[in-house]
Amino acid sequence: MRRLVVLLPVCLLLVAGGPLVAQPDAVTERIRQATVYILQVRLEGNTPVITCTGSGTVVDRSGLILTNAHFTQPNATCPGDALIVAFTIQGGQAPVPRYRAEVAQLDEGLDIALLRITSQLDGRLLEPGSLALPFVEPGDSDSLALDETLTVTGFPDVADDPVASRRGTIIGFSREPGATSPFWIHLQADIPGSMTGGGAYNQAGRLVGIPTTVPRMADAAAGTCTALQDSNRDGLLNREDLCLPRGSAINLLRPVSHALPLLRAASLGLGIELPAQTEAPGLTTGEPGVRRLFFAPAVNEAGMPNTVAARLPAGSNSLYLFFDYYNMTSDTVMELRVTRDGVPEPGFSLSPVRWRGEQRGMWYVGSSVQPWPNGVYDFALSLDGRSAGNARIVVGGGADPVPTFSDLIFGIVDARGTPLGNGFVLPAGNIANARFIYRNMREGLPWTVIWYYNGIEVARTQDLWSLQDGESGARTIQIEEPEGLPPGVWRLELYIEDKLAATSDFIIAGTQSGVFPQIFTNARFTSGVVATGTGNAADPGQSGAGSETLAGQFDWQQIAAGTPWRLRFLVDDEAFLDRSFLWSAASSGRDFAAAIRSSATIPDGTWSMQLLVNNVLLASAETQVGIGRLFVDRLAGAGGLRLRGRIIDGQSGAGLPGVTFVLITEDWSIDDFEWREDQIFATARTDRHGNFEVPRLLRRNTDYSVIINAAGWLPLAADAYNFDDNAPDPVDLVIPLTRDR
Amino acid sequence: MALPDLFTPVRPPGPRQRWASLLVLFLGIGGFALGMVMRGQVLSATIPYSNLQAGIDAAYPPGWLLEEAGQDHVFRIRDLSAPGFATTLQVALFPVNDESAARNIFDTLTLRRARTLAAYFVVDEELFQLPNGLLTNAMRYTFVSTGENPFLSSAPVLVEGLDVLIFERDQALVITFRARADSFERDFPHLQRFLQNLEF
Repeated sequence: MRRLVVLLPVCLLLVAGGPLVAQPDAVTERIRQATVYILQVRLEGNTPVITCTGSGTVVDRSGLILTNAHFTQPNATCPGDALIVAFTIQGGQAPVPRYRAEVAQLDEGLDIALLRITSQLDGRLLEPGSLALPFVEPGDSDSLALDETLTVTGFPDVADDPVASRRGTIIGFSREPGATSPFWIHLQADIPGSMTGGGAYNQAGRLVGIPTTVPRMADAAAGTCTALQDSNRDGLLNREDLCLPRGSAINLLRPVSHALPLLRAASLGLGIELPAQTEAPGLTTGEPGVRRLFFAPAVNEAGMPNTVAARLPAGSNSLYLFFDYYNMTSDTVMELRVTRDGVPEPGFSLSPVRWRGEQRGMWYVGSSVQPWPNGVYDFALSLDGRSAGNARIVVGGGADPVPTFSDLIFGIVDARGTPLGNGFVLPAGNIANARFIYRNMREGLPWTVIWYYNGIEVARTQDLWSLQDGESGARTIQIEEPEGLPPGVWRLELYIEDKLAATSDFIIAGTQSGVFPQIFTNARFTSGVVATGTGNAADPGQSGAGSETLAGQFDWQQIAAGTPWRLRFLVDDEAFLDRSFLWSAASSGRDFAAAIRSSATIPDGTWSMQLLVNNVLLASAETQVGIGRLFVDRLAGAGGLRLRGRIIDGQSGAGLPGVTFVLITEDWSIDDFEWREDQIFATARTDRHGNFEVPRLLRRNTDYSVIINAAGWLPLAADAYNFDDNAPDPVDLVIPLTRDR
Repeated sequence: MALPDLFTPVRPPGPRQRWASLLVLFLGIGGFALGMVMRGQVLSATIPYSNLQAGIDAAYPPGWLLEEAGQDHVFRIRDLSAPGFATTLQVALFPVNDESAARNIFDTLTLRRARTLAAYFVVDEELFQLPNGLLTNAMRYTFVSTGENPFLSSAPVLVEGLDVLIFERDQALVITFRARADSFERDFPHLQRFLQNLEF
């Protein structure tokens, strides 16, 4: 170590001063800094025009921003094609545009996007690693409970309003197909629509949800938008100018758990290329719509109703609305309004949100963790602002011993008539068996069985119930086709006295392997093969390190077009892709390839692929790349201590601009320091007022060393610069320098 | 009050007193000379640097921060004590062939920098005399350095840069010197001393 001219003791160097900006709560301050305002813009001539706005949250120090998808991609409501990110520079002030961003990951159905800050406002590219932004960490949204208080942070308006927070109480959870965890959190709060895309935080300051609503189509006459700029440059700001759409009040949060796969993919710089066959077969034509609305008190593991309910007894805490849907796209906006005895029930309603499912199929929305008070419930479904369907159910009274069918499962029966297999995916064959539970049946009660294949009725049986089978029990029925039941989506409906009593979809696909279907075979990972049907490549194995592409491949057999299936990719057991599709390739084939592309090289790790139908895992593959574990990024955590301060002239007290504050890692002392970059924990340079902020969070109870060496001023240095558990966060310093005469 | 007697003749100093005065004078001069030598040593002190892989030996001032294996350089040294912008010296290597010209290297640098440096502007391309007397090509440019922390109100700083190009067999060595524009000439000797010690 080349000795510094002056080595002053710590007590002279670090004079703790008052906070630069009054901020009693470090977590709140960090959330405020990590909350950004996002402007979608497009060029009108040479003038950038703001086309949509929303809020977002920085979730990675390098500039990854979590927000909604609906205003990040050009669409009818938000037609812009560039994204600008604005930060709150001074507390209490409106945000200031600083950077441009691009979409790194997107799920339109979930309405979640990960943006990556890529360039300065003037278009200059940012050097990789040059950003060190304050960010927040995702929390555990699956552990949230009713009545928990959350704080929603975002920008409440398009005017001069600074970042704001609103507190709200969780009043419900909604479940939908695709996962056992809730897809929506209902919040009792007054949240303006412009806060969509922001963040919802639990008491620990962890990000647990994304406030979400889709703005209505901009209509100046209807007052659903705001004109901000003289976009047509006629000298007037009026209805003729481009109008910024406004969202309705928000009562929904998308749990952050659904954003984690996207965040993981974005953090690792991964992109997924799927073959064109995964696109929907044919174009969606006609208006989207729903039909066959009914209720069920529970959902089974395949996402099917356990029964059909016309009424629920008092004390029920589980209810689901099922419906068939068609002609849907990811642009379709769905709204569900639920009233109880004519009074709106925000705990069960969905404000306008994007459609998450496929083009057609069966869907449900409901809840099983909150009480449904007695009353008459009316459910009104709207699609794109038009009424699409209504349903009513009564909750209350005792449990009537009415005749019911329930718990349908499908399979190949054994000698005793018990269906075997996975319950909802059958191999191609001549016979499909269905087993169901019946209760409270009466002699002579008319009941009907209807089988459908790809939506078309193929068989119907009407009969009178015989008490030979008893009032309650289990019964197996079957459909038989000597030439074989074709692969595809099948449905069974059971009626009692012309009322739907139970229904379920099941899939026939693949060949028979015992009682199980063999649909996907030879699942494997390869490197270098990216096109379906182009053949095998070597398993990457340990040698896959260094490749830019990793492809999940498999062969398939007897899958009908339109069959729903699901592809999931994981690395080190954490999913980074989980998407459902309708099958649209040939019914049988080889070498289906889904390519994982990396912006650099495929990171070391254990990579897995899972193939599912009706939530049944049918095939999987795994491979190791490099050492088989992801690199642990010490900087990934947002925990730690913020250090900021002001370097001043010791005589006049004036802030000194352009002075560098050097923080040396705990591995080195001042005497050992050799002025090498790898010995430095962080550097910070003072701004025009002498203020600085170390761009990395410090660990408590860790010895750092500090050097301040400014030309014209006596240098300062100190070892054992340590903050214990009682140190405030953020730490604000005032550091006086002495002029070197 | 008694006035001093200005007219009483002063007794001439004795030999001992004369030797003492001379000794003080010599000590003063000697101390001053020693100080100047030490100052010169401090100011001209350097730290040796060697990169065997790139085949580069150099020396740089103490107290400058060394950074190796960057994306666009073999090594870089920065004077963090410089106000506003850290005075920087860096060395980069470019592969060349028989047809490569200085213009090709400078164009490459210009296109790359125009995407990342604010207000990047090439002032001129000129001839530059190396310490060994040889003339080589150099490119002078300016850009504006802005703070990366969006939460601080840092004022942009005008920076002047000079790229000195040296062709050596199948490689081109680019020595880049950057400093605040208003202190560029004052800091320029750093580049000259660096070039004197550079072996490639």
